[in-house]
Amino acid sequence: MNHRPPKRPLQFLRWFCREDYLEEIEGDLTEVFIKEAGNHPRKAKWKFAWSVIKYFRPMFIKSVKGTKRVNQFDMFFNNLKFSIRIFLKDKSFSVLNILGLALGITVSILLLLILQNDLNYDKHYANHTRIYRLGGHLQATGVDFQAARSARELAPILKDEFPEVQQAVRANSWGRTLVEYQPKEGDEKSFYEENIVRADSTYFSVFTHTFIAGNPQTCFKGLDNLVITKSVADKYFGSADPLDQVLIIDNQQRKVTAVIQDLPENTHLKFNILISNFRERGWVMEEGKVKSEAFWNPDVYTYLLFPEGYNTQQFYEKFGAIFDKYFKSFGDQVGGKYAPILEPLTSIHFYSKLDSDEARGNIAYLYAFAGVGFFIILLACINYMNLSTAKAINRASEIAMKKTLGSSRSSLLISFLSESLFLSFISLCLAIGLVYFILIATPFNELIGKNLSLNFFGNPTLLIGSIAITFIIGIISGLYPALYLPSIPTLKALKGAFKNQKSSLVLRKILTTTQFGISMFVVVCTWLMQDQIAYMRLKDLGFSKDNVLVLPIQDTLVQNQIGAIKNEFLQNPRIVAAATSYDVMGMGIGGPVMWAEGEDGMKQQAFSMMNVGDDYLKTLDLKLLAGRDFLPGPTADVEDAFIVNEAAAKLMGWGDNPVGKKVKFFHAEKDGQVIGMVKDFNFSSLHNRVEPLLIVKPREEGGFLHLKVKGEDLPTTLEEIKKRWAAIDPNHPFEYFFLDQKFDEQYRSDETQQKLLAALSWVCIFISLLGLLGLSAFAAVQRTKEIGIRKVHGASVPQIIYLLFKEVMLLVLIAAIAIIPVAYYIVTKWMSNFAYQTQINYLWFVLVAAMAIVLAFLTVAVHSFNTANMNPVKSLRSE
Amino acid sequence: MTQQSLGEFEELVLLMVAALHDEAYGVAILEGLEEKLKKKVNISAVHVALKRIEDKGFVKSRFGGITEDRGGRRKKYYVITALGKKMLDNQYALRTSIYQQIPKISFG
Repeated sequence: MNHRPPKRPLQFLRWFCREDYLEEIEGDLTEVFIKEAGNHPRKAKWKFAWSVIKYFRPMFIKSVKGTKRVNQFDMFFNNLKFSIRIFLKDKSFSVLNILGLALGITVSILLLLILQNDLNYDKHYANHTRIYRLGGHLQATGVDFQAARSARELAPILKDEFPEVQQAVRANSWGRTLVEYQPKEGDEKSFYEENIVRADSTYFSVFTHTFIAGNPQTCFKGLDNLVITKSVADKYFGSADPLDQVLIIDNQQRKVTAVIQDLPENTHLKFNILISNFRERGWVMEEGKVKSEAFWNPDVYTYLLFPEGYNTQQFYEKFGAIFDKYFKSFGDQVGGKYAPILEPLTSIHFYSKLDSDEARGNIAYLYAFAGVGFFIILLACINYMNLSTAKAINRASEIAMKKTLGSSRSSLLISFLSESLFLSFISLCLAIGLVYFILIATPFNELIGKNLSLNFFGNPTLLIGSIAITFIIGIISGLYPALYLPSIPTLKALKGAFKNQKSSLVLRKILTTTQFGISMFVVVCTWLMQDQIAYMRLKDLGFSKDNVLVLPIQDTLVQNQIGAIKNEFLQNPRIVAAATSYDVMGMGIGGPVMWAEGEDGMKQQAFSMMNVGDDYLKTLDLKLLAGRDFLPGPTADVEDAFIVNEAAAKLMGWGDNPVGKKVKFFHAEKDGQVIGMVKDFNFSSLHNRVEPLLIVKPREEGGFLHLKVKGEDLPTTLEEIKKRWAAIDPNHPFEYFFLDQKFDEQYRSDETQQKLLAALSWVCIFISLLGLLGLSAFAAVQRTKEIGIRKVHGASVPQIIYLLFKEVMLLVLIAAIAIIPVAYYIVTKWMSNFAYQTQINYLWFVLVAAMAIVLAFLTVAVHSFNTANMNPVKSLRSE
Repeated sequence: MTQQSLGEFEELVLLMVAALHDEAYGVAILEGLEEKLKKKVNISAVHVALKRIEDKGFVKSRFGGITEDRGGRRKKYYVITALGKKMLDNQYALRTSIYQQIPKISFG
């Protein structure tokens, strides 16, 4: 009987097994097989196959592609060794390169962190792909706005009538509110909280949070229960059990029923205290129609939970029925149209354009940062290319020698690439240190209002991202030298007659010009931005925002005797004027829909509106162009006298003297009239034009007390006011702000971005100078002999420095001219965000060029000076 | 040279190579071991051990002639080297010397 070993395992063995072992193993296996096959042929076959599999281990497997791989492995170490030697040989040079690359990588890691943070807005909610926020586009005669909010009546109806709305939750954020904790024993604690949100009991079935204490199902069942975050719990209760503790918020006792983990910073609806359930507004159906206007007053954020992959188009189509049933009857009275707008939760931060929303991000700035970050990386890569091609001469003989000894082009390419990769990975280490430093030791996080941290192990994207960036930077910067250097002519190089080719010189010039161009571009842009911001701070707003102290009136007792309090303050010679207002300039001034006299009868029209007390015009220095101010006293001119601004008069076509024109509130019984007109003033940020405004005197004074004080010796004045106020309102901590500061806060995000960009622009410049430093050092050494000869013929030191510098200066000038139109275009585009724009100051362009030339000169001078001062005898003798 | 190590199975294989003297090749070693150990051993384990002790220099190998029952494959014969013999001697001496130290406990 002739038994043969099974074919497939044998083939497999032959495929993987090392050739020098194969014969022996195959032979032994076969022998064993034949012996056993006599008894159990089947078993023997299985055993044979099993044995073959057991040989499948590194010891017996042939190396990939035969023996070549071993060689490449060695070559890798060889290349590494070379890289280290070259690194050590010219240390200053390597340091320049590494500094540049490290800065590039630092910036990219930071940008990666910022991008990651920004692009993951609200993605921490498990249902984030299914949650939409419902806003609406509301139009009526004289009214047109897109609101991020919806009427609070809408959510329950949608949940009932639309099966696809699986859950609906309403939420509303409160402004700054006093929160008090009065324990049975121990000290009272009270703080102002900025982030309080009221939401439906369904909140936790839509938004997922991690509970530390309390029951997620039941904690939100009743009215006015509190769910607080960990940090709030720690702040008020310390180590005590927060559950069932009572906090007094807005003068009402509320019980803590659960504690959740702090919210991440990148969520659009931020809160640290969540209060359960809304008080509903009343509305009635009459003959199947809703008569009330409730649905036309969007007031709360509404979030809807849809099934996965829901097509929002269906919602819009079906909404018609809802409109007819609930919106139409009142809408018909005002010529209203209402279109719902569904925004995916995760796109709100950057893409929402709706009004009356929380603070949002500006994607343009993100693009700007990404752009500048890209520039910086590019600059660092250019540095490397420039420096390594410049050094080609030094390495020409090495390359030629390698080529003579049989190095192929590709292996040279690999060796140059491994050099640049080696450097970029060293830079990565440095960069990681730098990022740590920036995040921990500098107020960077505060500046950008984020809480970034460098956690490689908890953040795989960061780990992979930064390695990938480093790798890409290594490849990009190494690719050109790797392609260029092996191409130098071998023979010439061996003879020592190799000179840098013209083409590479030209390229180096182009690269340097680009570097300078980019740096100057970024710098000049930030300067121009700074101009605009300064302009906004200094622009005459049409009212006086300086030395106006604003005190919130927090107590009804205080409010009731505000007239007396004002008089008391006015006794103080340091206080010039006092007035109350419910609205503070720059803090968001809304407005109702009114009736105002048009050409043919009363017309419906939306206005901005300020509710102010007596003397407001005087306190804020508003200029009356026609008519009069409100009459003083608690009853005169209340709610039926209006002061308009020029924009309002223009909108209504009232001309120069609108006094006497009829205006009334939408539901008012009797007409009011315009009693005066003030000059336009910017009551909101300079991003926007002055909107048509009505100023009215409400029935009761209140809101914020504005005190106009004398400029000198502010601290004393403040101290006096504080003392006085403590007596007036002992129940609340003393709160105040200066109007100008508050107003300028509107530009804070612009300012932050400008500052960040400015910091980045200096990084750009620094990298360019690093490159120039290396390049000029090299040029100076290259031209040692030429300079020696020139000196022998009588050239002076300044002449020689000029000679060395001339070229660089030309490059900088070319770069400066090239960037003017680009910078102009970008900056005007940015400025179009602002309704009020400063003039572009062309002097900055001159200045940036001058600065670049001076910096370039100083950089070049370091080396040129040495070379130019050298004794020509020495330089000429050196061979 | 630092102290060479020798695993238990490697030692057995080395002993078997030495015992079989000039007739030591894979299958012969395998069968010898199976007979002595009274259990099945896989040929691959023998090969692993052989390659290791060859790398360590305890055995050397040569190819023998072609035989029919191996599908035309040559046998690879292993012989113990002087170093291998010395290793075995050391190992034996070491074990014996430690064995000698076992206290002779008497329960009388």
